[in-house]
Amino acid sequence: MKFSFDKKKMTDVLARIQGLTSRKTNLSITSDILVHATGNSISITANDLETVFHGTYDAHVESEGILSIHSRKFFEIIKEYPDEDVLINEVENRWVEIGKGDSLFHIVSSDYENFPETPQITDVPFVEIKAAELKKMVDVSSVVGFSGEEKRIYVLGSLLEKVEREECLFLRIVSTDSRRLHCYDAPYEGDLVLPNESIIIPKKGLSELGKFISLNDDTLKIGIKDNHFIVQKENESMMIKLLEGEYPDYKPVINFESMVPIEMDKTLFSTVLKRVSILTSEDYKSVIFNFNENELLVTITNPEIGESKEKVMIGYTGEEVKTAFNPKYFVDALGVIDKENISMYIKDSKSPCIIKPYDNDQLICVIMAMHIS
Amino acid sequence: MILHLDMDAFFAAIEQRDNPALRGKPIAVGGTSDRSVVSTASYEARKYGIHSAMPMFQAKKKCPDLIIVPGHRTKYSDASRQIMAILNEYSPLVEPVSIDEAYMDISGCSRLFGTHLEMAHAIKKRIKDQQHLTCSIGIAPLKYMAKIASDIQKPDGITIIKKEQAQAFAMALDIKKIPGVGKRALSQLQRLNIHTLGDIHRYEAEHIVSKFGKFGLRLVELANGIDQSRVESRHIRKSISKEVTLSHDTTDPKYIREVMLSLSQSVGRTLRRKKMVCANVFIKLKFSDFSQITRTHKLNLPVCSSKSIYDEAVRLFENVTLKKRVRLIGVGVSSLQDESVPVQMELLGNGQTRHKQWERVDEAVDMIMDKFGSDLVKKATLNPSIKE
Repeated sequence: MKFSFDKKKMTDVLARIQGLTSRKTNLSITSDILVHATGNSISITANDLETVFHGTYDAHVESEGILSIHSRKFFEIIKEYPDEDVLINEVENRWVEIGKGDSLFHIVSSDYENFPETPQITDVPFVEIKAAELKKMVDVSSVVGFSGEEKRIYVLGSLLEKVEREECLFLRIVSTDSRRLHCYDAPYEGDLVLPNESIIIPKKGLSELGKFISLNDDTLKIGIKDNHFIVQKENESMMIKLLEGEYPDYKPVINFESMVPIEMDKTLFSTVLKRVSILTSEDYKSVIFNFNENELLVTITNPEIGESKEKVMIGYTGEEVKTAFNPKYFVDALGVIDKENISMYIKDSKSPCIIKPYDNDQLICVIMAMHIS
Repeated sequence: MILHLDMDAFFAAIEQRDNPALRGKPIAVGGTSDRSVVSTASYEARKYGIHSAMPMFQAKKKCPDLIIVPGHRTKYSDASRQIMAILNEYSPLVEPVSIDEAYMDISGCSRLFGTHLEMAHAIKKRIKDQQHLTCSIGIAPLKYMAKIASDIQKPDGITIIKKEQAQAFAMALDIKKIPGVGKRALSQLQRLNIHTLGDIHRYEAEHIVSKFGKFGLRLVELANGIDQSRVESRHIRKSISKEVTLSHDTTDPKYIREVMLSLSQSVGRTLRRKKMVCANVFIKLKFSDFSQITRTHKLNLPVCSSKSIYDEAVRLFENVTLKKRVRLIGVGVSSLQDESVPVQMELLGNGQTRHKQWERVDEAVDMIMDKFGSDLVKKATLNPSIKE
């Protein structure tokens, strides 16, 4: 096979899939990409056995063929290549020549027969969603991560389901690490078909999806079929294999009806949190929130470093509530709220705190308190 | 400058001190059964090749005249406390490492106590006068080196490595004397033809680090005359554990679980008495051939109930495939923190309530045991009278 392509365009594509091909799997070939040259285009496939990326791009193909080549090395060579047009030529016996003239690479490729098969999914019932909305779903959920040793399915993955609010249909994503929970409702167009009431998408795949969505896109097609979540652009697609497992009943957790609302200014609250976070450490993560009439007192005591105190005026008329939180969770939540006015809901020292934009319920962040003995 | 003090055959020396009949004779402190091990051997016994951790039957074979003396823990810890108190008079920075060993930072103490040698003599004399015990002292610019120095002239010796001698000493230092170099690391080092600390310089630092990881980095640092470790006077307890040698080797999982239950209860009680919670549970199993394994699990939430510790210990044990008979079982906890430090609660699931309920049960049981004795309330499975 022999073909050439535009360096800049290909660098962009390869950069976006480096995360996917750098993931450790049981097969070493998943650090490769599959390049298929036919007609006047090439297609690129990356597969980490859970998430599959596939894209087709214009290229000048002299002779057709398939090759499996190390993703990172290929990316680095293309990125640093001096000319705008890069020539790829399979010389013999899986040896690939990259470039021509003064700068020339000779790379050994793998047997493409060993590259994991791309699932063939057809007739996907797609619906349309705004790229910005899908990006928001990914951002809201992926800030709630998981640790390396995590085994709980509902922490490893995010829940996706259809909800109806005020006679509108939304696609809801719920993400939790069992200490906090983010929930975001995105509008979409079309008739969404889910195999079950809800599905669980691995967070790893979602973070790759975050790179897949570009700000230049207007709308994207999404669909669920054959145990995969599929996102389709004009010339690119991503398929994420769903997780199987139980998702706990999260609905009581996001219900703030019996709680006391407090209106707050996001920027002000955010700067207060950033200041108190300075004194947190690995062993002392907790910040005490003391709600009094029209006043919130935020204190932190870290025996290893020292203490700090912040007073904020708030519109609060309930009983005194003293509760402790990990401020990082608040900083994360405020980071995904775009509105300036926020509502904060509290109840007592053993209950979670809920924050959301003041004027709508599209995004809800729930943060569990810390136990003060 | 760092001073390392190591008591000479501590337990045995105390027994010989208190019983003139034992003086000058080969004695071993430890249990009397054949399954016990030597905890300390007197210098007379060491001549026969008897050392700590050697099984008692083996020791008796080596020296048929060996006198076995049962240990007196409280006596030893009393003596230890008084020795540490003496050390505290010489420097504010004293780090007791174990019952018979301590580090002291003696930098800047010379105006008060004279030269390092004078100071070492003074400390030895005080211990000799007050406790009638001898010790060995090593003084060196680095902490690890002080420990190696104290071992050079044992018993009753003083070894000082001056700043200007330190580099030469380190270069010629036998690699197996470095704390942390075990059997496996040693054979790997020997394969690289590294026999002294100075030999490390024959390789690129990156090479050593990639081969030995964190420990490799330490070796490279030591070879360059850097030792990051300091004398930590404030002793922070890092773990609580308890282990027991079984009366006979076994593979019976039911019996092992019972032992674990009793160990977990003891560990849990100590943990709660210290008003702490733990986020790590580990077990240790020693087999009939004296090989041993440890297994650790990190918990999502810190716990302190015996039940939670036991559950984790059993889970760890169930993941072990028993190929040999078990000789010794240990259960322990680490990642300790004060119970008053706020603990993140779970948003979903009710595992936490269950832990909390067991903690309340333990609290009540602890109170009864504190008041009426520790053998009064116990798990039914541990009560021999209702066992079939």
